[in-house]
Formats: sequence, C-alpha cells, structure tokens
Amino acid sequence: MKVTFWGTRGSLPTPLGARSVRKKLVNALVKAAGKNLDTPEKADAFCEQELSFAEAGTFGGNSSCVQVDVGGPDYLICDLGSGVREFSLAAIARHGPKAPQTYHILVSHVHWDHIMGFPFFIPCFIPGNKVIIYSCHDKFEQAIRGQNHEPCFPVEFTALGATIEFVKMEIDKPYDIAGAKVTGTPQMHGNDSYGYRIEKDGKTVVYTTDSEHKPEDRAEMERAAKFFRHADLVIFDAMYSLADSVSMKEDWGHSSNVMGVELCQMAGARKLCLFHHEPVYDDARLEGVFKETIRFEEITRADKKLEVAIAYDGLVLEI
Amino acid sequence: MDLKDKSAGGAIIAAAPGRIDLSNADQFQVALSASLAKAGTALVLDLSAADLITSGGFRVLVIVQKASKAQNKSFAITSLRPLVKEVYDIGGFKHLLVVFDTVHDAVAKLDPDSLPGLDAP
Ligand SMILES: [Zn+2]
Ligand SMILES: [Zn+2]
Repeated sequence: MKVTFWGTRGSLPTPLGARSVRKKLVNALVKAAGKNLDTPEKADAFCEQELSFAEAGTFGGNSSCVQVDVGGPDYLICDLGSGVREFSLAAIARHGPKAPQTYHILVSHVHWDHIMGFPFFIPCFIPGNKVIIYSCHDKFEQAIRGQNHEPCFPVEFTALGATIEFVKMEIDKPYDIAGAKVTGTPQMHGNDSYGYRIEKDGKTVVYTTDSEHKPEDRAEMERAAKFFRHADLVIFDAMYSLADSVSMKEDWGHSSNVMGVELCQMAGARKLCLFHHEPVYDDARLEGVFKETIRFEEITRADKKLEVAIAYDGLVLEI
Repeated sequence: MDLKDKSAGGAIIAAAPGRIDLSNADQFQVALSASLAKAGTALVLDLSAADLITSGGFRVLVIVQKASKAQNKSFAITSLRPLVKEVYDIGGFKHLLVVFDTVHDAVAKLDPDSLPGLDAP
C-alpha cells in the first residue's frame, strides 16, 4: 500500500504567511553565508543537507485528507478536508478530465475541517465520474449535501455532474471498499467521529483522527489498541501535548503524541504517524514534537521498536 | 500502594514507586490523594526512586495538583531522575507541575516553617 498525505493540519487550514516565509529565508541565507551556492543544484543540495525540514520546507496547512493506494484501479481517500482539492488536481492531471474514475471516500466525521474540501473536489463536477462517500456518522450525507447549498455555496449538490452515492456504514462491520477490507469504529469526540481500519494483502493502515484517549479509561485504551492491533501504519490525532490533553484541553476531543506511542506500543503496531497538527504550532515546533516523540518511544520501548513519522502535506509513505 | 509518608510540620513527604504507568495509576491516585488529605500545608512527592512515569502517572500528578489548589495546599515533585525529567519535558508539564531538585528545597520554598521538622533526626 502507498499512503499520500494531502492535508495534515487540524481544525482549520493554516497557510504559511509572508512573515514565516521571510523568517525561513533569512535563516537560510545566514546559514549559507560564505558558501558558493551559484547554481540551483548547489542551492538545492545545501537545503537538503544543511537545513532541517522545518527550515527548508513546511508541514503545510491543508486540513485532513489522506489517500490510501490499495493497488486497484479506484481511488480510496480518507476525509474531505481542504487537502482534497490538491488531490483532485493531481488525479485529473494524471488521467485527464475526460477519463471517468471512481473515487471512494471515507469520512471520519463532519466537522468543517473534514468536509470543507468537498465543494472544490473537481471530479464531482465531471459527468461520468463516480464518487461514493462512506461513513459510520449518522449525519454525513446531510452535512455534505448541506454544504453545497445557498447561501454558503453557489453550486447546489443536485447540480453536480458526477454520480454521487452515500453509504452509511455500521460500526465493527467489514466492508469491501476499492478492493480493501474497511472496518469502522466509534471514537471519543464532540458530535461523534469514527476511525477506519483498512486492510489489503496482509497490510493494515488505521486512520484515526479527531479522537481523544484518556489514560484513566483503561478499557477504552484497550479497545483502541485492539483496533490498531499489529497495524503497519497508524495515522493518529496527536494535536495536543499530554499536559494539555489531561488538563485545560481535557474533553476537547483530541489526543497527544505520547498517547499515540503508548497505544501503538500496546497494539504492537509497526509505525505511528503524527497527524491533525495543532494550527498554533509553527514548523519548528512540529519538528520539535516529532523529535520528542521519537525520544519518548525510545524511553518507553519494551522489546519491539515502534517507528515514528510525522505527516506533512505531500508526504508519501510506502507500506 | 504505600508512599511511605513522612510528616515534617504541616508538610507530608511521599515517596513514589519505581514505575507509574497505566497498570498502577489508579492505586497511585488513591494513595497520593490520601497523602494530600493528611498534609496540612504542603505535599511533596519525592520521585528519586521512580525510573519511569507514563501518561497515567502524569495525569494523577495533574489531578493532585488541582486538588491541592482547591484545598489551599501546595504540591510539588522533587528529585526527578533524567528519564522522568525527559518525559516531563516531552509531555509539556512545566507550566502545570512545580519541580524542585530536592525535598529540602521544596519544603524550604513551599512551607519554610516545616523545615525544622524535616531536618530533625
Ligand atoms: Zn479535525
Ligand atoms: Zn472534529
């Protein structure tokens, strides 16, 4: 399987502003002082070798959208955050606008950051395309239809050219979606949200965002660990610090990097990917969270090593 | 769980076990809350024997911190070993939990009147 992250920011899109770009430039120019970077190749190599990811790039600001390539002809996507626009542009660039495709979309829940990209999901405008939207959430069809409606959006849902279907999933029941086995589970989050376990050819990806885990709720932790059991990749809501998640932001419906490590260790998962980044965090802070998470895994490792990754818009993980 | 409470004036000095994680956080919470109830002025938790504290343990420390505030008492942790200090930093607890290098430093700051009791043989 191949997983492509198109949107990784939590709560709302978070563009990198002019001041942040200037700060990166100034830092890079100072570090490059005295070096002879007179060709694009030399400058690129400098960025690659001498600058950190946060210094030379950005984690990005689009809200949740993850593509899971399970090998078949159809597309499989998790969530319709603002990142889905970039995904759709890439898909259309690949096939051309006239070759009809089938898009399967799993929706975790209908908070804005997870559906706001749908009005700009270009394949919906093109007759011949098939778009099938799945969720365990009770109100996902109503929310998605309601977005494409006046006065909030000028193109009515009923005017969309593609064939669009909604499939309400039952929790804990496996479905065949795009050739993969997909199972949904309820998560602790205001207005409900659902995680999805995607299995194909012996590989497993778990998409679990907008989900709070409480250290005192042992039974719920064990239930979550069972859902993550032996997953090759767990895409995890690590929005808060542990301190925030057990104090000021308790019951706000999100989890921490520390809980991600502990749950993946309980589950015997292979790789944890930090996801749904806090909009307040800049690139340097996110890079710090990444390093700290790697260290926390080392400190708490029992026998098996858990790999740690951090999502950014554009990251591709081969599983 | 026995936290080997010692009293020094109005302060209680409790000693944490070697590891506090999800498996014993509940017992730790009961024991530490009992220590807080006994304290007249301050509760100091000596972490010198603790090799590792994970999410469940830190959550209890935050709860006891809140409870101490509600009871008009002080709470601090002391003598963090390097790994515990690292987890404390990683978890982002520096604005929530007060740390001292030693039990003596904590009592001297939180409840100086109780210091003679601590130093007594
Ligand atoms: Zn969200
Ligand atoms: Zn949400």
